[in-house]
Amino acid sequence: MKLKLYISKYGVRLAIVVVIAALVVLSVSSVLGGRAGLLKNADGALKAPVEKAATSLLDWIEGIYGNIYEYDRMVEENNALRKENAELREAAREYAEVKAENDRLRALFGWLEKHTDFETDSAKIVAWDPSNYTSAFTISKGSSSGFELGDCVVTEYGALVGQIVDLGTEWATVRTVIDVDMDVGALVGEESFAGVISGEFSLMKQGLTRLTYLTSGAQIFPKDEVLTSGKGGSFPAGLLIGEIEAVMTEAGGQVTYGIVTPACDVSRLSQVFIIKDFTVVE
Amino acid sequence: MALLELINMRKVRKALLYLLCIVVALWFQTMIFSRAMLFGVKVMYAPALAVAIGMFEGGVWGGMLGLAAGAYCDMCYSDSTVLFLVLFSALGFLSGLLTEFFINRRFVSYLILSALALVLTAFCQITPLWIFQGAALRPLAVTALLQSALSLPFAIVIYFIIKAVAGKERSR
Repeated sequence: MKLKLYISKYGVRLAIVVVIAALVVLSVSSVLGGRAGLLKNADGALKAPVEKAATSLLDWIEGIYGNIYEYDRMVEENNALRKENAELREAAREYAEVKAENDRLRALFGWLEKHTDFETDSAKIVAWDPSNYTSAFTISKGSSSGFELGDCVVTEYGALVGQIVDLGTEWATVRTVIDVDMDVGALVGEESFAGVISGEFSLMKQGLTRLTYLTSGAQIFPKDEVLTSGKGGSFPAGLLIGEIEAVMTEAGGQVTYGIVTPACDVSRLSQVFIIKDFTVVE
Repeated sequence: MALLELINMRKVRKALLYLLCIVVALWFQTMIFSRAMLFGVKVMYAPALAVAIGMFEGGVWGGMLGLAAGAYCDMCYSDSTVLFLVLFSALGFLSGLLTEFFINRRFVSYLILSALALVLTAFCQITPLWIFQGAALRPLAVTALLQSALSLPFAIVIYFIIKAVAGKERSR
């Protein structure tokens, strides 16, 4: 078969199929507006147990990897107590895990006492987005737990983690505060100058984000706290986003922006808390 | 029964086998390797699947299974809607077409094609960030190149898996 014939016979047909498929996907995602469709929901439901198992397996492997060094040291110290020590360490690890969760819940409880208007629920992180160009993760609960698109996600200390951007029945995708597509209204410094937290790729790779669109005359300094402004109603006002690490000026020299270290270390998160409802203060 | 006789069960079985390979490979990519980063970069070897299938099964199979792999990737990646669907279909079809007329199915040809596909995919991923978000090109390009380089060893594994599946199907 000649090249031209091959392209006109198969290529054109395939192009039509691809265009139709792309249009269908685009229309479906536009209609659903972030809510998972039937296929995506089915995939999420199918993957959920595998993701949980994979997470447990990887945690276990990481635990074993860490224990090898500990184990070697103990063999040198006392061979006779090796087995007993390993059992104790296993118990201690379980205890540490339970204690860490308990501490998180206690901290959340203390924080919640100050915010009686918040209705929250906890969820575990089961998977991280595989893309190198976004910062997002999947949590173990979804719409069946009362979560909604746009719900705010925080740590046990009330530090902003991100926002739900994709929602399935038993899972949800959370875009983190350092993601390039993230925009959050913010207040900074003692005089509460308004600005916008807006992600930037190279900062995202370092676990940082950027405070831009500051009101004219705003003065920001390193160590200034950055809080959510609550404007727009997506996020409650007063959540801690992070603090200014450095104050920079754009190439023209006219626009000042701040580099912000998020209060939560996104890479170390394992459990997050979703604010399902709160009182909007305008 | 008459309707069943119209269906080419051999082709259906072959398509299901390839779909299984795609799903397993993508589950590894999105669930296991999304937690493992080298130099701060995650691997993305999915384009190599479309290239390998296109090489061994021709442009139509490459295009259609590339479309399936792309659609599934679009579901798994939160920063993409139809990018992979269109791109992997094109990659699958093009690799089939090139194998039909210009190159052989040997490993070296595949390695070059899949390396090009990996680089093209990475640069398609960074283009919206560069154009619409105004991100600096240098860190984006470094990430894209690292992503392609680290994904290449996985592409090699994919070649032998798809070759084995294609060989098994031909021998039936």
